[in-house]
Amino acid sequence: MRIYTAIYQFCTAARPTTQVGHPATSRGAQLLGAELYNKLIEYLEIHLENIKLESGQFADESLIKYYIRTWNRYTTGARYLNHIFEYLNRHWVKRERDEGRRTVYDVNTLCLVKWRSVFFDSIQSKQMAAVLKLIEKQRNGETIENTDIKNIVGSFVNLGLDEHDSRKVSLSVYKTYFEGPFIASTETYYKDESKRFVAENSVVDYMKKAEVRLQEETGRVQLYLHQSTEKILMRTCETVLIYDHADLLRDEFQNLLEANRQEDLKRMFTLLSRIQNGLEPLRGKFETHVRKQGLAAIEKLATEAGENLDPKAYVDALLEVYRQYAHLVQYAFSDDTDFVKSLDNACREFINRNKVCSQSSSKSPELLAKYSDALLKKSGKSAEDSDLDAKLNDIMTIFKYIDDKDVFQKFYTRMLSRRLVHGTSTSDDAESSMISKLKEACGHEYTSKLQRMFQDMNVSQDLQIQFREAMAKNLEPSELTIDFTILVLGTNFWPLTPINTTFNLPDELVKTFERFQSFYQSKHSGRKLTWLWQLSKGELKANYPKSSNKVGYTFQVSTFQMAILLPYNNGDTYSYEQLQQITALNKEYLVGSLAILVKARVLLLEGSGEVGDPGTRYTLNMDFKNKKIRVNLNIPLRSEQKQDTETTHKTIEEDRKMLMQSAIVRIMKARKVLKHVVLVQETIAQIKSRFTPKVPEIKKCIDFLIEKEYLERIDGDRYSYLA
Amino acid sequence: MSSLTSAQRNAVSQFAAATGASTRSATTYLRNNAWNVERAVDEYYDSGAAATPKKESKAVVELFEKYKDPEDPSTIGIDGTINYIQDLGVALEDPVVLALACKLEGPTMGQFTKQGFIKGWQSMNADTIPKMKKAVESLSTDLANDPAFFKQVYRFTFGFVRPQGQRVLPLDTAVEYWKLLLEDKFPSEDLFCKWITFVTAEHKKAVPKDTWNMLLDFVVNVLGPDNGLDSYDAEGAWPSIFDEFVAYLRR
Repeated sequence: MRIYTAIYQFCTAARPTTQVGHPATSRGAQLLGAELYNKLIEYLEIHLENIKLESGQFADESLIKYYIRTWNRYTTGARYLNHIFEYLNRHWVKRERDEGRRTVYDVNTLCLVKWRSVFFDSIQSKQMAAVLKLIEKQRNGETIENTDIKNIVGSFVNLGLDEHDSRKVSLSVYKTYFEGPFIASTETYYKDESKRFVAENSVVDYMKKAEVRLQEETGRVQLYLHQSTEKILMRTCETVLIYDHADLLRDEFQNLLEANRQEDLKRMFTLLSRIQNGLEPLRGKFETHVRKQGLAAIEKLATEAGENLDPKAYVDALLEVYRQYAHLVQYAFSDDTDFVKSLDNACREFINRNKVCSQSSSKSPELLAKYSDALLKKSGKSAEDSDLDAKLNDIMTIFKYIDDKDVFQKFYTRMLSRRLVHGTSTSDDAESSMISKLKEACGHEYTSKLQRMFQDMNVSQDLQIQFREAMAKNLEPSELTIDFTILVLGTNFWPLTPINTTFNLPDELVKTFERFQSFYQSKHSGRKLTWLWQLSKGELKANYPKSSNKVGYTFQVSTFQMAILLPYNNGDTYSYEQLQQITALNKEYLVGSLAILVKARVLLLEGSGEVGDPGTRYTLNMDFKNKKIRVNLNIPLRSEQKQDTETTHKTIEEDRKMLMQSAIVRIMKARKVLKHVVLVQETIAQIKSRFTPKVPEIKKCIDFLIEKEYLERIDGDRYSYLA
Repeated sequence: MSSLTSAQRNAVSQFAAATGASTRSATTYLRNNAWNVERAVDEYYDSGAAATPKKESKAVVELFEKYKDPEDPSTIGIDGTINYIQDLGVALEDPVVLALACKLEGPTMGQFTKQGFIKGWQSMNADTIPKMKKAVESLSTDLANDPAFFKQVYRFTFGFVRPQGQRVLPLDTAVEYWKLLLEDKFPSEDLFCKWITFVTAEHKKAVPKDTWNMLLDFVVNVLGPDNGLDSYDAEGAWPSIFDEFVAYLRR
């Protein structure tokens, strides 16, 4: 306090004199301040010269220690001085600076400036070398005094002075004298180390090493470096440790994939994702690998199974490959969007274009639909509900990748109709859950027919009840000897077509047939009922076999078989020709139905010859025996099944043409005039969700539409729409 | 022309009322101008098609009367046509007959309408047989030397020789007229034969208008240039019959 007062007095002493008559009033006070300021500089310079001299005897770590020690003392002293010279700071220094003299500083800053110019500049390179040596020691695994470096860094930071505002910290000194050399030495260090390490160790080990090193360097920033260094340090390390060895790492990628080393793949992903474009080449490799794995899995399956490929096995094989790599993408590649895309591309490839699909590209959707049919059909080992739902979700997983979604739709519709008509669906819940999944994936239009089918089923049930009530009201119970159920289904929504044969309904059924016909016409006049006999079935009670117990056998038969069997109420033997006359069925259906009855030994073929040969005779087997009381004879004919698949494929072609034509007309209607290329592109874009149309097919449709005068060519490659 | 919308039909009648042109040419001009009546009328007058209707030349009318069909006095029938063409000193199977039919707006093979006949000759400034002979000669030169005129005649031919009420040209008719008009437009006789073989033995379908029209472009732009076939793009706007033909050639 005393000194402070003295300074005050020194600075103010001149004032009275100046006020008495000297014209240059303020100059006097200033000169006095300057004198003091210059004295201070002189003092500091002498002090620092001594320090410099003393520092000469130290080197390396001891120099660092010495530096820190003197720095601490010096800065403390500087703070004191600053307080003491506060008056000078506030008046003389301030005025000088206000007048633009940038070389005049407040006392604290002055101390730092002098420290830097007299002492620091002369030893910094020697000292920095010591610091770097220390850090290298630490990198080599020795323990060092972290706080020492931290203090040095602190000193470097504090020495950075802003010329314009002494209170602001500038990092210029730190950046130039510390960060620069530090980064350079880091680069050299890791360049050498990684080169050596790679030469002696495996790539996997190197990745581990690099991972550790990167972590260490991040830690180093926290420990004793300035926060601003982190970015450039990491970039340097990434370049030296990863970028320079990126090709080496990438070369290992394939091996890791083959061996399914998920941990290492994850490591590689993390490392390479740190550098720019580091992952790019991996995506392609990954895609190719997954595609090859998928194709190989299917090829293996196809060779093992041959002709009779089980839909379930096929779908399971697809799923297995998908799951393995979906998990890898999630676990090792953190669901990176580009890897997800590569996975999708690969899956689409091996699902749509594998060995099984080589004969027909629509094989995948067909098998997938068949598998879903197997799941949704009632069977001995029905899956648990939750289990079933998971399996349906699996189907959707594959479905997502199917190109020809229209083919799936066709087969699915066909099989659903069969499940509904024959009542073989596991549960309505499962069916509707599957439909809502499809709807979610493909939109309302895709499933509208399927939903209509369910609606028809419900309407039919109501109709059934109404019919029964009407009959009970109008007829004697004795007249209603036949249990009768019916499904009335909309022609446009069901993939069912009447078959090409005549048929005489057995007399026993004619009454019921006529009653329903007139009942339905009275409700909906003008609607036409087409009876699909090939889908009808019934049960016959057989009381005749000698071996039967009191209950008698029940035969579950098709209506055709019923027409064949019912005449045996009147006689024991009929010839093929007689049966043909009675039933009026064509050869294919008559022989098919007969063959099953003969095979089950309900009827016995007399003498030699094949079923259906002219003149063959069929006798009722009185000694019929079977373990079961209900005997199912209603087995679908082989020819029917095959025909089914064929017609499905044929209708797909027709539907595709329609779909393309209507898309083209829609587009042209909206755009009026369009270039050929654009029209083709837009058509593909519109239809892609159903199937991938081929350009020649689209061109044929355009040709057709021009011919039918929906479109007109206005010059070489433009079309216009004709309403 | 039943494929026109009511708005288009309306435009046609507006156009016809403004210019006095036939429905047929009205439709053509309108179609070329995206059914904009104003622009179509402009083009119509610019093209000189409407060369201010002179008073009907008496000589031309008299000539028409000479050849007209006794049963339908507004047309020249098949017999009249044959006589007339012979009087002009032209062989019936000369392509210039098609050019003439095009100029006189003949509706179909072996027939001229009075309107078309008179308007046509007036525009060519010919009202006597000798003058007409001269005109036919120059048509012949134009046909050989003016690609635009040839294209016009070629395209006209489709409608001219197409059987009434049909949308497509029977294959044998098409082949016949290709031989007449296009054979020497093909870069080589061999290519022309290949085309004919292709359409008669492989493709075997009647020829729709688009195929007919585009064949000329195809011959000029694809078959003509030296490397035209190599750079042929099957995904381009060509009707698919040409894709198949190119595939056939490459086979």
